[in-house]
Amino acid sequence: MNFTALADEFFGTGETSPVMMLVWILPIVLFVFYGQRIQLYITSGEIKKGIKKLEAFRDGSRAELAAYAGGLAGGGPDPGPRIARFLENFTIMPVDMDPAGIVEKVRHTVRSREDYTRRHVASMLPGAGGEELVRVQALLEIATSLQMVCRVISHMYLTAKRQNNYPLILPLQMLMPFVMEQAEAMRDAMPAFRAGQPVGDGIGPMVVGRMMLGLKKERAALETVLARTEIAGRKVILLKAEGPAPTVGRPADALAALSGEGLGAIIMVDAALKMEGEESASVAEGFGAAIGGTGTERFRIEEFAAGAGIPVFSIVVKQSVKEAITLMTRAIAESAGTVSGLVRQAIEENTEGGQSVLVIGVGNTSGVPQ
Amino acid sequence: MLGRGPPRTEARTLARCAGCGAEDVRAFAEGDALFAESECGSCGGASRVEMIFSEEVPR
Repeated sequence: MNFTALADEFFGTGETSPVMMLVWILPIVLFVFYGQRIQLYITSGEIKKGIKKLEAFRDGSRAELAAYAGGLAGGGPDPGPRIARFLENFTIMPVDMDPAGIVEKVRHTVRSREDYTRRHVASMLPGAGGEELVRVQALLEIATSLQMVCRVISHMYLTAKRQNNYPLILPLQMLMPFVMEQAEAMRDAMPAFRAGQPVGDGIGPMVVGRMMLGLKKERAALETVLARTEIAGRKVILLKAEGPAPTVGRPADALAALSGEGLGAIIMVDAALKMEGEESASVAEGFGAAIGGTGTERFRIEEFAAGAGIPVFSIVVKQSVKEAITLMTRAIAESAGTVSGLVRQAIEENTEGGQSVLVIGVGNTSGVPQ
Repeated sequence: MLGRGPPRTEARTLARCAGCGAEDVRAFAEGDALFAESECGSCGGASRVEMIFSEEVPR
C-alpha cells in the first residue's frame, strides 16, 4: 500500500482533496447558518462598549448633581435620595390621534412638569438662592436625560440579544454614533451650567442682554425680562430670559402681554444647529420664528404674529449640538458684534420711524445677565 | 490625531476697557461674570467682561 499517495489524496494541496474541500465548504456552511449570529456577537460587542460609556456618563452626572446639591444643602438633610427618586420620574406626552388642541395639551404637560421640578427643588434645598435653584433644575434635566438615554438604549440592546434578533440590533448600531454624540454633549454641559458660564445657545440672550445694559428692566413673564429703548427713531422692546440663571424663560407669554404695543416687526436672535460642512459661528438671516424646544412656544409666537400681521425676522448663529450646550466658544462669542449690527440693520430696513419693534434673544441665558 | 481623543479646553475670561481698549484675557475664575465691570489695569478706566469662552489648550 502506498501510504504517501493515500495521504496526498486526503491531505494534499490539490483542489479536489477532501480536506481542502472541507476547508472551503465548512466556512460557507457556517456563514449560511450562523452568519447573522456571528454578526450579532460582533455588533453587540460594539454596542455594549457604548452602553458602558453611557452608564459612566449617567453615573457621573448623578454624582456631580448630588455633589452640587449637597453643597447647597449645607447642614440640611442629604438631597441624594430625593434626587434619585426624581431621576426616575417620567412624562407621558398627550395622545395625538386627534391632533386638535394638541399644542395646548403638550404645553400644559411640559409646564406642569417644570412647575413640579421648581417646587421639588425649592423644597429640597430651602436655603439655596433663586439662581442656584435654577442651576440645580438644569443639572437635574441633564441627569434625567442621560438616565433616559441609557435606559432606552439598554432596553433595545437587551431585547435584541434576548431574542438573538440581528435585524433588531441593526437600527441600534446605526443610531449609536448619534446617541453617543448627544450623550457626550450632555456630559460636557454639566460643568458650564454648574459654574454659571455662558453656553453656545446663549448667544441670542448675550446679544440682547448687552443691548439692555443700563436700561430699566421690567418683568415680562416668568423668568423673562424686557427693557425699552430707541434705535434709529423706532421704539424697541428688548426681551430675553432673566439671566444669569440657566433658563430659557417664557417668551410667548411675554409676547401675549405685549399685544397692545402695536408691533411693526419681531426680530428673533437664536442659535441654530449647523449642518455638516457648515462653518461654526457663521451668521445667517431668515424669516419665521427661530425658537426650539417642544414647539409650543414657536406655535404661540407664530399664531400671535399671523393674527396681528406682524412679520417675523430671524438672525441665527450656527453651531453644533455640543457647542450649543457647552461653554461658548470664542468664535461664537465674537459673532455677537456682527449679530448686533444685523439687528440694528433689520430694525432700520424693515420698520419705519415711530414704529415699535420687538427683539427677542432666544436661548438659555446661563451666565448671561442683562 | 488618531488615538489622542478630543482636544482639552479651558475656560477664559476676556475683559476690555472702553477707554483705552486694553484687553485682558485670563483663566476663568469663580465669580467672573459677563458684563461685570472692574478697574482697567492700564488707564484706571472701566474694564468690562465682554466674553467668557472655551479655548483649546495644548495637551
